[in-house]
Amino acid sequence: MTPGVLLVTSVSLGFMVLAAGAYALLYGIGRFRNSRSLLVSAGFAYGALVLDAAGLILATPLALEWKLLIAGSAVAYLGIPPLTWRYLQHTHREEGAHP
Amino acid sequence: MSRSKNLAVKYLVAAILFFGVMTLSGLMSAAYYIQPDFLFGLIPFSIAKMLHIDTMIIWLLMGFMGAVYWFLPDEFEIEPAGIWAAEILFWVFVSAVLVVAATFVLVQWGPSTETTLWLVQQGRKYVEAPRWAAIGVALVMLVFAWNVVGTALRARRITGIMAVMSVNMVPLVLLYLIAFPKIDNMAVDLYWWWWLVHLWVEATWEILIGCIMALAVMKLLGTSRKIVEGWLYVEVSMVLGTGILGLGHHYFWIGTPDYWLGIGGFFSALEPLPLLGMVVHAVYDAGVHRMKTTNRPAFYWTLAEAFGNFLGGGVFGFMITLPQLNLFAHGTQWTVSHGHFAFWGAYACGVLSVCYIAMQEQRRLAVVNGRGWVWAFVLLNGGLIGMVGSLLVAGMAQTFFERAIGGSTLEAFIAGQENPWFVLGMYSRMFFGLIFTAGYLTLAWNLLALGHREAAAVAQPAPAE
Repeated sequence: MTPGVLLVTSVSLGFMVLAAGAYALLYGIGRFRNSRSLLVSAGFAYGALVLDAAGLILATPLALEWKLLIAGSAVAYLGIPPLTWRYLQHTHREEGAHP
Repeated sequence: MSRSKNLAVKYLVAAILFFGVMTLSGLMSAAYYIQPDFLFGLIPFSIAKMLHIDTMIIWLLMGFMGAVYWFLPDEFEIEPAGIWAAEILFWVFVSAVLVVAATFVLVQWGPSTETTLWLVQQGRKYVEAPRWAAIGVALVMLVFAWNVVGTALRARRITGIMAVMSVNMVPLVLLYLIAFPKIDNMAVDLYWWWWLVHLWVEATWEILIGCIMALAVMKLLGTSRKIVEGWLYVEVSMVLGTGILGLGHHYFWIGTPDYWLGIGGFFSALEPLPLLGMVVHAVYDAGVHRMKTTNRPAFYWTLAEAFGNFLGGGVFGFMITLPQLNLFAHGTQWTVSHGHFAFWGAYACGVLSVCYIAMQEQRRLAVVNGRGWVWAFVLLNGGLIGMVGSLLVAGMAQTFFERAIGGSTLEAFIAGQENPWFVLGMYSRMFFGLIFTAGYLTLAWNLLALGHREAAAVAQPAPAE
């Protein structure tokens, strides 16, 4: 791994989680406001995550097991916001706490 | 107010005061990087750093204890078991911390003898306190555990949150006992030492703050117990599932077997997943309540906790957690940057939220708002983000020039320290450290003055028509 690639790889890993955060945030606000544009933006954030993960898998000298982990994480990140959202809605509805 | 809540206020006040000592010693530590002969012959860098790190642990611990003593009578509707012992030990705890701090500053070091270990310091990072003080801390933790578990037993009932907290008391006390042994083999010593540091911070503290925030959210937003407890169980399982074996990322370069590289990298990479769930939860709660609450500062600090934890622990942590990259970034300012952001997000913001909740009830304020807390919030968070950004730049320069290009030789170390990007990072960190300090002073003033203006307005007779 060259010094330059080292920095680019690290920053890309950070960007991947940051993009996941942006996806979760936009998804949450979009669902709450029933805003199609925010949900589309959430999709773009997730798209950025996937592109970043693809770059990490295809263009960095990380070992194969880490590349598999990155691919798996990218898939897991897709599911977490909707699953969490559904769980929160379910518990709130069950308690009659909020509409 | 109950005795437990009075004790809670004392703990929270002490926490805020030690937060100030941590900030001041942090500024001192930052100054050495700009002026290496700063306080030459008086206080070396290592002592300032020790004060900074140790008071960070102490103020957060006191904040947690204050929060638990605050919520305990609400949960069980009785005074905690053994509250008298907790009241005595509060003063013992504070006195011990002051004596240890004075010993660090005035005595500083000693020869490699048992006497030094018992009376001066143990020399192990984060748990440098001499043995007599470490025994004191263990005693305080033991009584704290008794207060929680004993109260549940005396009340003959248990809530989900208090059950989780009670079980968590066992590792909280037991893991601290690792602060005592003197192991000659450094690799073996570090192996066990990480159990204390990592498993306290990324397991038992995570659960403790999870329970505290669950109680805070119920108080702050009126969220039902069932919802809060359901989420707490999910969060605790995920945090423990990823956090316990995440311990492996500290075992990378200390002489442990190679398989720790795989275990540490794998579980650390999973650690951002529950944090992402927390972000969604924060958005949901903020949306449900339409950002309306009677205690805005507490609400905003709670939100800052979710986002800070995600950014500091998740984003900054994932950048350096895979072994191939950690080989170069380990122990640089990059790690320092991650550590600062993660501690701030995961713990400090939560403790500050509880401070505002307690002050609202103690001073019988219908609404807590105003400009003071906003200034404190912006200056503290702005200062912190500036500091971690500066440390990130410095750490990247260090990783690039000293480790990757220079190969970690002494010459490379000097070249890294003199690199313009590193130097810029250090100056910039100092600047943002000063902003953070201004935020701390504003926070302290705001917490002190909260409600006094309203009280003065009520006491002032209305002008004659």
